[in-house]
Amino acid sequence: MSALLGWLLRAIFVALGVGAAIWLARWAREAGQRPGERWPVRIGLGMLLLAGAYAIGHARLLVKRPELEAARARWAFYGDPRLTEERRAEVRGWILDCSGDPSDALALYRERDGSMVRAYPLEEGGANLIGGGEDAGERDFTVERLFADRLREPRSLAELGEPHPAGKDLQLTLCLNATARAWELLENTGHPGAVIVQDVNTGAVVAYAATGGPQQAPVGIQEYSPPGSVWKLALSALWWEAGLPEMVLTCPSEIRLSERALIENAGRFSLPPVTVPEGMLIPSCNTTAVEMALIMRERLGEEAFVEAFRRFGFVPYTDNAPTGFQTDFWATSSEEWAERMSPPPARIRIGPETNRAEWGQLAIGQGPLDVTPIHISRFMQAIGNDGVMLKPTIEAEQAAEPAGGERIMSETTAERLQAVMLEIVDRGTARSVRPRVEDLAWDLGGKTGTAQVRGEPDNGWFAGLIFGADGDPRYSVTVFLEGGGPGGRQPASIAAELTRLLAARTESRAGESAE
Amino acid sequence: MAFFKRRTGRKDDGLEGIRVRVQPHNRPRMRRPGSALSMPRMLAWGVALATVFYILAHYSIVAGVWPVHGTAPGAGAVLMRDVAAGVAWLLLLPVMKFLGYRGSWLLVALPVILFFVTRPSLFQLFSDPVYQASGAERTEANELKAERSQLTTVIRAYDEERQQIVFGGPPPALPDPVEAAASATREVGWSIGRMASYFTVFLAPLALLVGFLWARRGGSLRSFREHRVWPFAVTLAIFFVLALFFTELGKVGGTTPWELLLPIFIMVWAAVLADDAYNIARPGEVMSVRRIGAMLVYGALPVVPFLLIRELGLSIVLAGSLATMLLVGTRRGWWAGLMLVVWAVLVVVAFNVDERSATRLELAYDPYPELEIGTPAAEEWAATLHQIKLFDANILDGGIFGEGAGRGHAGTAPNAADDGYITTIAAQWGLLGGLSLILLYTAFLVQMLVVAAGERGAFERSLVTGLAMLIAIPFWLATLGGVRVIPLTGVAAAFVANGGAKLLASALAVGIVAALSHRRAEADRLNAPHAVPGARSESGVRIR
Repeated sequence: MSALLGWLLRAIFVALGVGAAIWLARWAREAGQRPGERWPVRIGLGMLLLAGAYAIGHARLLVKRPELEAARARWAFYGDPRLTEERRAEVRGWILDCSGDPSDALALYRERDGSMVRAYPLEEGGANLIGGGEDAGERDFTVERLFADRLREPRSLAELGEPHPAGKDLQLTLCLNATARAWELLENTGHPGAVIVQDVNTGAVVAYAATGGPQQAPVGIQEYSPPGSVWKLALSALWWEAGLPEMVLTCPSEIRLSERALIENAGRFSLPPVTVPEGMLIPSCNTTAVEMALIMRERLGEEAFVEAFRRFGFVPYTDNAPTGFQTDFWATSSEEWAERMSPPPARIRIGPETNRAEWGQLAIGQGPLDVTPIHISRFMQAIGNDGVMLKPTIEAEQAAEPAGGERIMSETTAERLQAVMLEIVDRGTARSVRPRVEDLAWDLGGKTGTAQVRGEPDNGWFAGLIFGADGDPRYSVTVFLEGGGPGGRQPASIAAELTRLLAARTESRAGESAE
Repeated sequence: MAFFKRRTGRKDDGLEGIRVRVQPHNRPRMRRPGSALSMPRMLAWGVALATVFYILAHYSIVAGVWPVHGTAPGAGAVLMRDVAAGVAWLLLLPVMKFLGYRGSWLLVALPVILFFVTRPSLFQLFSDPVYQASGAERTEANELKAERSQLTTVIRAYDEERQQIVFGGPPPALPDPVEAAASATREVGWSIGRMASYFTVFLAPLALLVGFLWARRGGSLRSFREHRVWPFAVTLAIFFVLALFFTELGKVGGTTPWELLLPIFIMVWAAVLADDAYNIARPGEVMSVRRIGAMLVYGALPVVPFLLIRELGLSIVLAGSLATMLLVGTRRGWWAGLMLVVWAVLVVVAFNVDERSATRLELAYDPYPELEIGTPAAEEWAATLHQIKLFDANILDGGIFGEGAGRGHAGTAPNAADDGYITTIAAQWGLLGGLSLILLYTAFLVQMLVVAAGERGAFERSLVTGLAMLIAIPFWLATLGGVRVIPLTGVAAAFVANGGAKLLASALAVGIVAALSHRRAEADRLNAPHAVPGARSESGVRIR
């Protein structure tokens, strides 16, 4: 009603203007032919020119909108009552979680002492991605900030006529309880880091928790770290993809690659000869991985590595490290999100010039290799999706209709990796968390990683898959703890707890729908 | 479109002495009794549309904005005043008809239309709790307005489930708009300035009538013209006294009473020009001490008080009006050239000598310099920039179609109802609304100039031109300043912006112009030749 009235009023205003324009046009046409004094007529024609000047002046300001908005934003430093009034009085849309249920909203309004306040149930747990938390005003890596225009869009046509239109909701793929639990587990470790859970079939990010202050780039998305032994999954994938046969290799406690380069197993363990790749992956034998890498280099050549790693979503380089951001990384409808939240390229320096020592380092996820947790998560999603990599997304609309992914490895290779990851949790480096998932119909598989950073405690990784009761992978789970290694302990433990939560949640929903 | 072709003010009842009975339904429409006195049909439609707009826009604000934003103290009184003003402006038209008005109806109807389409926007500002607050109260009002807006929006837009989540219980009841309007009426203190600003809105139609009735008879103007020295001397004396002793920050008790003096200066100058037009039109004759002295006294001295109180905008208005009259009164283009040169020199001098003018120039064309934020220079500029930044925001927020009646945040801009009136219109009605207003106003100004062009006497022609410019110049200064085509001058536009004295003076001026238009139509009617069908007009029979 209000919107209709608004448009009726606009129509009347414009109709009156059109009437005046017609009258003026007639007058201007006949002005020269009428008898009478010329100077007043000339002045009248001058008035028409001034009307034209107004039209141009007004339109010019509208055309320069981006420039003027930017300038206003800059000068808002000294106060802008307009922005204050707009922001304080606005009612944005809610940010809904994966369920779409308003009671599980990630950002909503609540009444407190007669005032409306924007509430963030995740509090600090969502501060790095949703908004809210301490120093919320300074955080600009948030959905609240980057999807602000969407959240301010009137939720219906009727709202258009209101003084303060209620904004449109935005449903994310993030689940409130999974993200809350991930944050709780992450916070309990006392280490900086990130936890990312993705739906392997859609690429949807189901849980994201990360530490970091307002001035810090998002740890899970833009912070580099060597992946450690998690990288052995990529190495093994290449082995299988290249069609190399199973092979029995030794697993000594150390391997010398050059005079100065010595690679050891964690705790200098050694094993009897193992059948690779499985035998290398399950105990995460560094020396066997190095030997595998050297064999593959000899048999396949460097170019095969470059091509395979590129396919897996990493960026091989030789001289200058690639910089910038991968703005096509996400499946998103928001340019702001793509611009602000895209990760830098996950890069690996590899080529014919790579010496033997570096080659060995690369085999165990060390050396000139920089990845972010979200890159590892995407790689795990591809393994869980039988080799098809999808663009990650946090928007439910995007996840509902995922764009065709890219096959980065064969289905057989992906299945082999899935199977070996289950073995790793059953009897490998992540076996300590086996009891935590043993009573579930669901299962957890994954690869641990412990990355060494010079002068710092080891970073811990766990990159895994959560399997449903039917044995199919449902979610990928990536845990990165800065200084929180080894990966088989705290990181794997977080993954196990999330498996419990997701299993319980899914089963309880299945029960509800059955009822 | 028949209206646009039709000429009003003609009545041809046939040759006197030969009575022919014609059934009314057989007469051509324009020859029916009283038809020349009626407003043309299309114009009447325009007034009707504007009236509907006025009523609905006020309703939209009271029902849609007041409950959301709350109201300023006295908002109810403002509403009542607008109701009274609407009635008064509408009554003007039948009263003019009753008085036998035969002049241009556009002259009388367009101010009504202009007032009706712009007043609701100003009404919202006058009832807005933040715009009406000042100092520390403003911050508090801003907080309260924001809180109330959020609360009412949530209650209006959210379903029961969401409201339960938000409130954790039953939501508070929405304030009733009618109750809100009633409760908004509070006792406020009355001062002369406040009363003046309250009453001018509906006194203005009366002023128009007064101007019309006074100037309708040739004797009044003739008498004024003959005895111009006394009204001039008294008016000038009052002006100097006001300027020198009673002015504070460019105003007297919050008003600008000298606006009411300007039509008098215009009339005196028209008389001076008319009496000596022949000589003033000749460069050789102008150069006499007596003539130059008269021109300085009547044409330049009235501008001096404005310069004393540093009211640059109004000095431009008066000087511009007087200069244009000189051009029209003498019909000499070289006066235009001379005036342009003088004007250009004055502009260059003003922008180079006067720091305030230079700042305004910079604000118009480069308001956002690349100064390093946080430095003292930037802080100083930020204070200067404040108003223009918010005017820009009004225009950007309005976009093409505007936010609607009373919507948007135009009230956050200082002087949004005065200097920045066009940005308020732009915020609420967008580019299309702004353009519509400009076209309506241009039509009104052009119609005044059409009346001037039709006048045969130098006095009347100069007078109408001067009065038209007295309305036109501030309008263009305020309007083009709002969209930064020219620097802001701080003058208010008549009928469309806030300004009590300006409104009264302009209504009076329109009344005088309407009277001259009426007189010309009457004269044309009486002088109209009654020709036999098909004969050339000059061979007709003149009936006296």
